[in-house]
Amino acid sequence: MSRALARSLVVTSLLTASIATSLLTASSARAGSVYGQITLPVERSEQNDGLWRLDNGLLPVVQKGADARRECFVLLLPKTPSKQHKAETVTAELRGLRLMPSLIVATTGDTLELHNDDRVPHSLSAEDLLPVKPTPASSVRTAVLERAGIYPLRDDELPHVRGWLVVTDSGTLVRPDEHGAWKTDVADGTYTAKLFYRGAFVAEIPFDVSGHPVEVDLSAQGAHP
Amino acid sequence: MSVIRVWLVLLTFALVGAAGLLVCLPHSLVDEIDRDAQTHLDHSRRAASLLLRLSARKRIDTAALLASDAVLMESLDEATRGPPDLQTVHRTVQERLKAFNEKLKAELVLATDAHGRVIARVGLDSSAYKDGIEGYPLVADALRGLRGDDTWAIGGQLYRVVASPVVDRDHYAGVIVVGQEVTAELADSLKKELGVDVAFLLRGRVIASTSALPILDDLTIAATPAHTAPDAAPFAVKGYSVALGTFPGEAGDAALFALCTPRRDVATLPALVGQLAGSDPGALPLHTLAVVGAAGLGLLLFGLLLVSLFGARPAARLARDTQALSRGELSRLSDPSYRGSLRVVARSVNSTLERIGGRVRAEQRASESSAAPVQRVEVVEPVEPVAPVSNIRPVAAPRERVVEPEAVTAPLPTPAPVPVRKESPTMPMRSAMHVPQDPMLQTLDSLSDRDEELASEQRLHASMSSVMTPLPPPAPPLYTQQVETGAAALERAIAEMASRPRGFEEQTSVESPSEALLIASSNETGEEIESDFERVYKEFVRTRETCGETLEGVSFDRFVVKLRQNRSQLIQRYGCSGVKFQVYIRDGKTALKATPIT
Repeated sequence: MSRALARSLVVTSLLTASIATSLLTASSARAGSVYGQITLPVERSEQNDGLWRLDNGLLPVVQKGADARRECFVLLLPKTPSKQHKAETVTAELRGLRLMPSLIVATTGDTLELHNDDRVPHSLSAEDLLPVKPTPASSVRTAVLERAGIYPLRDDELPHVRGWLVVTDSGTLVRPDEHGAWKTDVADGTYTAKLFYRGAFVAEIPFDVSGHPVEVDLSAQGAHP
Repeated sequence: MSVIRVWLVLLTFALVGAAGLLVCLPHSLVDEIDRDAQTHLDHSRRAASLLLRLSARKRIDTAALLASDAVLMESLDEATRGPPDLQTVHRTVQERLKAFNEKLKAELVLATDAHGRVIARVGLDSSAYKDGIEGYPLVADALRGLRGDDTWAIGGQLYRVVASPVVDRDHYAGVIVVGQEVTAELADSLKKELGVDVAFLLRGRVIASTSALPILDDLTIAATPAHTAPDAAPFAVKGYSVALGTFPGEAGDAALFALCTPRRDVATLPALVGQLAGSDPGALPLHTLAVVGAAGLGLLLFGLLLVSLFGARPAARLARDTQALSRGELSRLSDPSYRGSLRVVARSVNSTLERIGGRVRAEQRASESSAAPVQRVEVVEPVEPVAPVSNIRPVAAPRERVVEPEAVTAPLPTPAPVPVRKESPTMPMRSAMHVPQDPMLQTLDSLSDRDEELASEQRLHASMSSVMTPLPPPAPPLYTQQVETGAAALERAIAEMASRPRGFEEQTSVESPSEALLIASSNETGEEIESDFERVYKEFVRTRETCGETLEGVSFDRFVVKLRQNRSQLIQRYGCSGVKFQVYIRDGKTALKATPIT
């Protein structure tokens, strides 16, 4: 009986120790959610210098609202850089004479794939990163992104095809939904949330994550990049 | 001559000024014309933009009319819904578009469904469809309900496109796009309106122009951002003034229109010669021009020679002769050797000399009659400048007159010719001098030929050089000053009188002593001298009072001491028997002069 009691005590102690160890381990690697809302500036009146833009007179014109998904993203930069990033492939499409998405976000070492789904060739280029090179219809152009930076993308064949290519060294990229809301989970720690809007980081807010949800609202009001 | 020179200088300046105007004025006119041309081009550029905009507006209405077609509405709405057989819809829409385009003659007509997917094309790529073009801003705006225009670059060609939404009842069913290629026809129509040549460029290449402009290749080079800015000034390219403008819209960065007008050559002399030589080298009469130019040059040189022979040289010779006359190298001017007005001048000078000589002779006669009791009669010369003996020429007969001792006087207003003796007609004229001793006169009289006369003159000059004291014409007054006290004036007057400069070559004036003075000067005694000093002093004081000058520091004792010193200096210096002092007024100041008496 006593032997059984002693055995049970030992087992109990071991279980307790293992539970405590697991709890301690769990607390050091726990994550918290971060979410927020992006506020974009009011769209200014459309500029059509030298071009006619007339109402049809029959139906109201559908207003063109700002689409946060195409205009901005949030970059969460940890105070201590994370481990080495695993290279991935980032894909963008040229379809309907548009670049989708027009805002391409990647990390250094990633591979960019440009799929030309149009029936006409495109010559997308980024200074110091992507040289001018025709991409025939129904073909794919690939490029390894080795240098961090913000690169404007232009199409020599179709000037209206434009976009941004943002290459970062580290951090977590979050794209908002069509309403500007964003959410992600990150490990506990100190971060800086940076908002990219039309070619530049226009706002940044530092915050801490300690297992609890953190709300970080970013605004691009007043930014005129 | 100076007038002639001034006139020549003025004439030269006038000619140079005229030549400068001929050269410079046309250039300013060229600049003015260039500015006008540039202003015209700038206005034409604005007008071209307005014309293109107006044309786009009309084509928008055409597209709107096309978009209101019921068949197109229904077909595009069906295509938007995703029919099982899109090809049928494609054919229907394409046939409809073709029917419209028979009148439109557009190079590009297409219709899309409500998603921006091409359902049918007419003209460019008519066989292609089902591709999306919603990325075009024009199409995207049309899908939202806006009519508009744009400029597209497709396949190396430039299209001016317009779009209109297709409205099917309460929703947008698609878009109609009508495009017109930018061709020489558009350039001609613009030229008709603007009056300038027009060229269109796309991505550095000329795609159309009004005519075969010789600067088309240069336009592509000159199409820099600095020249394509909206407010960029027109510029010159190989004889043309060019203004660049951009098409608005999609292809605006790469699509340009150039307005060109030839620069007008202004009729500058180099331009005319160059143009004439370039167009017809034989038309330029080089030989005739050479002959005419040589003849003109010869006439000019001949005229200058005439001016020199009959104007400049005689005048210069007259100037030299008059200078020689003043120096005593000539007795009269050789008036027959002159012509015209110069001869008149020479005669007038000679007449003047003769008239002066006659007056001198008259005075001589009067002096002879009054000086008869005086025993000392000497030969003197008329007023002539002292000159080297070798240059002395016989110009007048020596004359006899009363002894004319050397006058040490203040400068005289005009040299006073001294009467000379008529009895010696061969005696050459000499400078005004006094021959104090009769032996010298006898020596002079004994010489008969010219060499002996010259030799005697030389000796005479040598002997009289210590006696004569010619006066410089512009010399300042010796015995007067503007501001001085009485004592200082006295001392200075006497000092200067004693140390009067010698050896002037221009003029020598001899002051004729009065008859009373000559009589009184003979056999002077000490009492007479003292009496004369007292008389001079009183006269000096009176004269200074008359002139309003101060007598401060003036005393009889000092005055007499100075007079004595001066008298002894002059007697020692010239060997004269006495000195007579005279007080006179010169330029409102009291002056004192001493006259040696031989």
